[in-house]
Amino acid sequence: MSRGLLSIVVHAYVAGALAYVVHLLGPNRLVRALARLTIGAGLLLQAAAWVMAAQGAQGMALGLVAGFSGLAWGLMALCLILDLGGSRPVFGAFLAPAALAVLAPAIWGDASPAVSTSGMSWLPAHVAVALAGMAIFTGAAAVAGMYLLMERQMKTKRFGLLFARLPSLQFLGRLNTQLVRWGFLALSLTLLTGVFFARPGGGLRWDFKEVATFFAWGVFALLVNGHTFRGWQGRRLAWGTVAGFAVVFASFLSNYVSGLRS
Amino acid sequence: MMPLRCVGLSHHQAPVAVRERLALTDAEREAWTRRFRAQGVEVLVLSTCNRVEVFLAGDASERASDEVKAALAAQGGEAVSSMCVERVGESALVHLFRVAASLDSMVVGEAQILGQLKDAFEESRNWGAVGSVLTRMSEASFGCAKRVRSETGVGRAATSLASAAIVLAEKVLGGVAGRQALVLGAGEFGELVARHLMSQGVGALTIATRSPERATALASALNARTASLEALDALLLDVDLVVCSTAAPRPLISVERVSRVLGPRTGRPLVFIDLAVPRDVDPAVHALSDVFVYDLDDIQSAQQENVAARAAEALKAERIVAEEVARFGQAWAVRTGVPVLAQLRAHAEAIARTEAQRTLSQFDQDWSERQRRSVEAMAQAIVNKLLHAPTSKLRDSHLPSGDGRLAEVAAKLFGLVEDEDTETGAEGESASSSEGTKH
Repeated sequence: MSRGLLSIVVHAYVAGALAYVVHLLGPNRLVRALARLTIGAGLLLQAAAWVMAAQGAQGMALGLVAGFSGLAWGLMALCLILDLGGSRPVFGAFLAPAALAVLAPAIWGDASPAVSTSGMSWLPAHVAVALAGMAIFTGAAAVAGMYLLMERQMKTKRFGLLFARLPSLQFLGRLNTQLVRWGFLALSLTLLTGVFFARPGGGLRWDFKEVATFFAWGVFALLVNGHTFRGWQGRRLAWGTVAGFAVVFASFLSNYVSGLRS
Repeated sequence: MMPLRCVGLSHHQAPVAVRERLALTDAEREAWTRRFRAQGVEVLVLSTCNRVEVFLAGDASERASDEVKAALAAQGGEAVSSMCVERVGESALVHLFRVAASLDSMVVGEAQILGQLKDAFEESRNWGAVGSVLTRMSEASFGCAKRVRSETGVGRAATSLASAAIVLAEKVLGGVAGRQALVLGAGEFGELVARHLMSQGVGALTIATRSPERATALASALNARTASLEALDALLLDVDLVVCSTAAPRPLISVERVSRVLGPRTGRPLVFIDLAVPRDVDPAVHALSDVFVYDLDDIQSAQQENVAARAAEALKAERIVAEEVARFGQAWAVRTGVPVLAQLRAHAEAIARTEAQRTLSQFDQDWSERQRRSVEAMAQAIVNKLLHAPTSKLRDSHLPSGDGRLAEVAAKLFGLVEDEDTETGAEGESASSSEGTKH
């Protein structure tokens, strides 16, 4: 993505994030509409930039800039989906700033040269599913954080702004569960495509990245199993989500730290 | 000055932990009423979950208020003394009107307080503790409350404590529709909450109470189930929301009881809304994981967000209260002023007649009818001229520009309060004046 276009996208996202935060402090239909417009515009521009870059490239863009900007795009998209689909703009006040934080390395980093996908026909799918899963898990962790924050408000009986604006514990818990399930599905597909299809010859190398990914898969498998068959929910699920996210994010970061992956 | 005094405390001054110590039973309310009545004042004891206030009317109200404070301290502990508020005269009247209009309530605009005030008034009347003063003031406050409800929207938002409580529960449960709810206690509050839960689409409602007949009657009206309080442990396994409003003197829900059901519940949140005073749920239960306990004070805190929304309507209601208090004050001044005026004139005319007769009888001559009438007319003319200015002032004292205290001052000045002393004094003065003018 060109620097100029990236700058426009960043400005749109910043405006959207600010609008969501302002809306959190004092609900206003116009401010909410502004948030949706700017974030939607940013998403379209970023997607358009990828398409244009892919048409001219001899391979696939990988590396820190591509990874983090892709993750940020996924988070912003999730934020807009939750606002438009669930009529819950409050998530924008948490997810949009998180997405901006994720985008920061992409702003200041240098784009890596395109990588040939010859012999790794599944690599684009693997990367797309991995990034989608990462975005979903980040969203789940944010929702889990909101759950724990709201639970804190209810337990300490602080009936202030957050109490008034955050959704109910039941809604947050249910959303957390749904995001964990979808994220687990995406992570499972990521592992499948990565182990068997996205690498010439397939197979595991048991480097930090793969170990962390499998470990994260195990954590989320435990959570999904616990919720489905043992009725785990609420605070237990929220903390489990945060722990699982920490592991899966470590796996994601290891893509960009030399020595942690082979 | 209006002879009304109000002594007590409410949720504004005292937390629920103090108020629950002051919760009076029917027998205690009657005992208090008779005790304060013995001080020679009219008494109305208003005891609800959010306030214990005693209204006193009469000249001995200051002495009676000391009795009230002593009773409150004995019932609630010494800490109560520093929380007690005493209002005198118009301030007490304004407070009475505001309480009746639910402007002083935890949930402004709630409908229960007026009924509670009316019940308290009826009780006091049955116990012979209210006279004309408290009757007039109470009835005026009921009229004011009716005006507030019909002319403002203060009662429309967060209509009741019950609905405010359910809103709080929904912050945990995301709505009561489809949920299982348990109502402990089938009294007035319990019934209100049960009806509200049904109107919100609660999935299943169970009413548990010590009195099976009361629970059965309410449950059949609402298509709910009944249960005995003995089955509480089993009920806690399945329900999502428990609303407590029993009259139990000690908590029914303990930490041990709730801890036993948490394991099988596997993290499902359990919400207790405790509307009872004394509380039905041990406050320590709130510390348990996935359990939330909210009492009346918590509901009030959570309501603050709605305060701004109702502020405009509450302002209108406050204006109505001010108008009604002023109207009552004017009527009161006229009512007290007119008797004083009539008494003063009657007293003066009696003195005039007596002195005229005495003067006429001192002379050994037959007065003609014309002469007799002249002497009597002179005495009456002196009375009229002397009383002209006081009469005008007393008549105007009830106007906004007038002085409402004139009637009281005039009564004291002319000795109209104690008739025997006044007559004796008048005779003494008459004797000295007749000696001075003897001819």
